[in-house]
Amino acid sequence: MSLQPQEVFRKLTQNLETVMRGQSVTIRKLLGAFVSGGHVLLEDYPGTGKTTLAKALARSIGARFKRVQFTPDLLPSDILGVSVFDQRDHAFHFHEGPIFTNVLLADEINRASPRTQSALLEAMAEGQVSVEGTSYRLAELFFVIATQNPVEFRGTYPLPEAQMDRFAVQLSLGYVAPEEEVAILSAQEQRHPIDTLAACVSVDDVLGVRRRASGVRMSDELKRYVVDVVRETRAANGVQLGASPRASLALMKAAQALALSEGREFVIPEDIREMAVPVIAHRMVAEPQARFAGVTTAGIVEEILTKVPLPS
Amino acid sequence: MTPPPLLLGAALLFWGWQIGFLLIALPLAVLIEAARALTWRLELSGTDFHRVTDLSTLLIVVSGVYLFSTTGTARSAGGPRAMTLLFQWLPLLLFPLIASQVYSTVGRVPLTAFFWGLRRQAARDPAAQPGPVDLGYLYFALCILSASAANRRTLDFYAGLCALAGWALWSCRSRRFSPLWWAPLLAVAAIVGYGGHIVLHRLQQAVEQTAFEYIFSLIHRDADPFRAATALGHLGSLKFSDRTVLRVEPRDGLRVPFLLREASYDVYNSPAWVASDATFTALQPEADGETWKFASRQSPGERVTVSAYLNRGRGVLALPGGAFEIDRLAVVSVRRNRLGAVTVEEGLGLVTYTALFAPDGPLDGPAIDADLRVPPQEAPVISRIASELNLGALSPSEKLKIVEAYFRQNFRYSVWKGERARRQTALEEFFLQSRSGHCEYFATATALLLRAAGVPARYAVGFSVQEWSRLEQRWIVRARHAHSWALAYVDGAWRDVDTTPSIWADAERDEASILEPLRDLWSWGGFLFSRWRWSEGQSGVGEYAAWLLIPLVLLLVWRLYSRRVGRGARGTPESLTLAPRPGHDSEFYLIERRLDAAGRGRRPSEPASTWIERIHATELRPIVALHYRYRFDPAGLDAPERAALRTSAEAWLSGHHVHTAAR
Repeated sequence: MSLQPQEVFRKLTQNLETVMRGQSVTIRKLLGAFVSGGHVLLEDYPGTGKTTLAKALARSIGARFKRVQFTPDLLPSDILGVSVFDQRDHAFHFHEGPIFTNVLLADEINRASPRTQSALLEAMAEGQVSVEGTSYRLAELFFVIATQNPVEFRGTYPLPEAQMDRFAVQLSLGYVAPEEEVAILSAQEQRHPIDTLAACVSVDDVLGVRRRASGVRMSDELKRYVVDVVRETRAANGVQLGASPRASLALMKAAQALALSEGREFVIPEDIREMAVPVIAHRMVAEPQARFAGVTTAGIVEEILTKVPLPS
Repeated sequence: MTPPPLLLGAALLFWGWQIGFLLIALPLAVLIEAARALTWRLELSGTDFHRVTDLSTLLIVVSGVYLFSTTGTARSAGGPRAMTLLFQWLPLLLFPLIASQVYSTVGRVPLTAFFWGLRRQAARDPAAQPGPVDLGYLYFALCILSASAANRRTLDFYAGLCALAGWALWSCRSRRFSPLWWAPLLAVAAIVGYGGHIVLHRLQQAVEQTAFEYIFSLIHRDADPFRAATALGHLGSLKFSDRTVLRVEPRDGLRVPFLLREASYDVYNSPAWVASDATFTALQPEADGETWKFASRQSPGERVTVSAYLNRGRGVLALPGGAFEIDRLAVVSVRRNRLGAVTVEEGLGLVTYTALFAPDGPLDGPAIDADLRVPPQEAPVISRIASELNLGALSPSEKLKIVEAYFRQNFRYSVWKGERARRQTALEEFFLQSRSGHCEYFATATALLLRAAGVPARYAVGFSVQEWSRLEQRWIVRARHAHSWALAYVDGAWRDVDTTPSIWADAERDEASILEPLRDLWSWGGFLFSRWRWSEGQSGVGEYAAWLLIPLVLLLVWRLYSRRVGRGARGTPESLTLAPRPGHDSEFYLIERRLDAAGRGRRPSEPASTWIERIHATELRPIVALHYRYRFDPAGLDAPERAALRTSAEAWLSGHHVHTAAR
């Protein structure tokens, strides 16, 4: 008997909050993206807990978890796997790479070469990998959580726009309030809480919630609202590249997941508004002049949200 | 945002009252406000609005031309007055636009009506059509601004302004506060505004006065007719512009070179000539207001007609020596001094006057002692030359002849001066070494030499008429024809003595720019325009332009009216004609409206849950949850839930009455 969706959300949230203090908003969005079946890109300064959050999520599910530290000399075969010649039976055997897992933490993804980054593309978009002409299916629950930090430029390869579009949401953690930071210190006085973190839900639970999420109802009026918001990003001032229809799709799914997390069987406007910035902003490219003027794509999306009439 | 009822009408009446157009403003106001009572509307397309805007633009241009051509004939500067009048007329001229807005089914004017660029852009890409604008408040503001151009400076104006502003603000005040708060605060703002403007005005006056006193203390100098700086002693070459400054007629009977004098001076103080005791006295015009006589005289003299530009309506007239009367001079004030300088004031931009003159005309006062004085630093050389010429015992006219011959035979014309010995004065150098110079040298030397010989003499500046323009078929005088010469008092009359070699004009002409013909053409065009603009006749083009407009207006009205006349009220926007939204009859909207009336309304694009948190109406949460299911769950509500939404909303409504005045 699998758990109720709301229960799954509650348990996961509880588990994560023991490790990540003061990040309930980000955790909520992360779980929304996770349940909607999308992949997550965490972008923030070093030391804000990106890797910890990813590890905690993987541990909480009791799923297979692999971690790849991206470096400039990382090769696609290091991720996907490689065929090795076996002397005994004189044949090639495929050795699965770390991508054959449930949760993959791609740490500092922007340090790998574009060639390696794009090896992730097929896997993320289609749930399968092709090695030497043979396609291998990935696990049904396959979730990539990638991290990158925005302060370093030397020796990094910024993710191409096409790859950014593969991530359902981009989140940042940010620094927590001083009280929370004190609490973090206290919690880790003896040992890191992640060491004692136990799985609270099963892979089947998660897959069940995912199936339920895709059944969450959404009215045509709200679908139209999603499309209107995404379309506006293509015409907004200071935007070089607007969001794709894939963004509309991701926004709808994320809103469905968020509705489910609150035990609702239908989407309300608030769900869409909450997920709009993390789903849309990272897919857009601002014009250089606008960037220099301090305009961010997140700011543009916020402005669009205040402009497009909200169904109420 | 649409102005509240009657506000535009009131603004129009206020405008009419202030600028004295009440009889025009009344029907306009009625026309604008009648739109609220009438149900028929015109179905105007974007192109129709473009036409109406073009008509308004045309009206403004034609009115501008009309005002500039008619207000100019008043005896004051016309330009600024015309601008002010045009500004006052704007509500009238832009009325077609606002009328087309209120009588159209759309109720707004597309932005493309105002910008050519937008029109072209919209023609290229219909999707990029900018949204329409409501001109209501813009027109309201225009009425008030135009009314302010009447500059009545009465308390009525300020009171009216405050009343109208209060009226406009009333409809968009915050409903959260009682009007009992709102009205006194507005009154306080009005009173503070009134006090503020008085203080600001005083401050400006004080600053202006201080600045004026300071600047005046820096640059206090005599005006032009009292002093003429010469270029005597100036090194290098002199250059003059070829701009046309005077036009002279008649074409025949003029002995060229003909001298037109502006002023004369009697005291030489190197390098300047100064007019001593040169106070001006005002002249009284004859009965027709345009004839000015320096002395009554029966015999008809010769006549010459001069056209000259005035700078801001004032200037010094160029007159022939011996002038005794000026005809057709349309200025308010004419003044003269004893040295024959005549200034005019408050004229138009261009004056054309006829000067009557005779050899013994009374323009110049009689000779006095100052006309015989030779300054001490020049005296040695002057008296030496005078004695060399043996001028002692001759009659004045003989002395004149000898002096003229002396300069003709021994001196050359030149506009270039090289170095001179430091101890010499400029005149010594001229007499003893170079024996060449420009007209100021010749005129000064002649005047001083004549004085040394006992003939009263003065230094005169003006223009030499010598160029016949084939283009204009009249004599023209350029700035480079500026000239100076001496006046000698012989046999009781002042005579022009021009000793400068006559080749001076040729020398100047050689310096002329090759672009001169083009400039002449331009200058002539400017002259013709000015003459038309400043002409005294009332038959300017402006008179006809107003009549020309009538068929244009009729054509436009007919074209607009031949459109289909839509029946019924304004057309409903497209979105409302679609199938009704699910849940549009939710009682939650009644709550929303009630709260809006209380000034706690939901902002556009603010989600309902965020809104009720913001206004601390958390008791509404269950209602919002039901409302959301009703609105956004495709499965909808079942009958008991629908009833629950209704009853809970009604319960809330009955418990929360709006205490502030409902609209």
